[in-house]
Amino acid sequence: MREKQGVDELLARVQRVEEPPFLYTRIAARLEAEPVRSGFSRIFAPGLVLAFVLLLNLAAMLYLSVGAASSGDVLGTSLAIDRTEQWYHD
Amino acid sequence: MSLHRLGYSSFEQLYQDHVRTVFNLSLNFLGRREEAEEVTQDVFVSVHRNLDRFEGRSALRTWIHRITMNTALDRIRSLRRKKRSILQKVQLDALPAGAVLEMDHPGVLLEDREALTQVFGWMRELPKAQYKALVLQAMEGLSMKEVAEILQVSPKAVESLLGRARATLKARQEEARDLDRNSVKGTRT
Repeated sequence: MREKQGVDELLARVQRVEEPPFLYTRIAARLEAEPVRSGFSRIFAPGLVLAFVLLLNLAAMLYLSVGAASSGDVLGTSLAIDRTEQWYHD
Repeated sequence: MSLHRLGYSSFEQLYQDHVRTVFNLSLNFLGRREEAEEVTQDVFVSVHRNLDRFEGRSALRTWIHRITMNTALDRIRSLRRKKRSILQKVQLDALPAGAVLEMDHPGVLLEDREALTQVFGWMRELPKAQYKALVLQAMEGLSMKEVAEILQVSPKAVESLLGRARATLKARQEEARDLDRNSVKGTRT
């Protein structure tokens, strides 16, 4: 390290340089390759995802409630009981 | 905000106005030409993508500075992750010192390269806000007010950030000098 040279002096010696040539061509190519997102799709896409998640939740709730109802019947019939009191009498 | 409202007739015009700032700022954060080119591309793609969200509450230049800094710091983070995974695979001793973060900054004079590689390494270890303030003020030559606007803090806070950053770097520099002196003494005896 150069003796007695402060960090600020060193940093100030870093020179500004020219940007590389043809950089804009590469950027323009990337911009062209990007799918165009319209304002409509920006609102529509998250809305669609939200609707799908809600639908999935609804289906899961329906499935669980139907499952719970039928599993109670199955348990009752498999134990040959149809009234709660029978647990105690048996 | 539209290009037209910003006073540009094309995106290329906006690019021409800001590319040098973006490239040099990226270079000052990353210290490598190749990485700075990648970051510059990412910045302009991001500017193009988000221009309609820019509300003009700050100057366009300030907004572009912020995007550049964040993109450059993200790049440093991903390079560090890559470096860590490389070092897990390859034995650390097998790599020459500085092999992973070797500097390739075209604006650095040959005689300053060794010293600045060390300083850049120390700067990357600073807290992020101090690092940003130091690059913007000491390397980009921006005023306290401009740095404060970009970092969205008060000029007083910038002064404090710079003071702490400089104190840390000075201490690191003195440590390095002491180490150098001791190693010279060691070789003489």
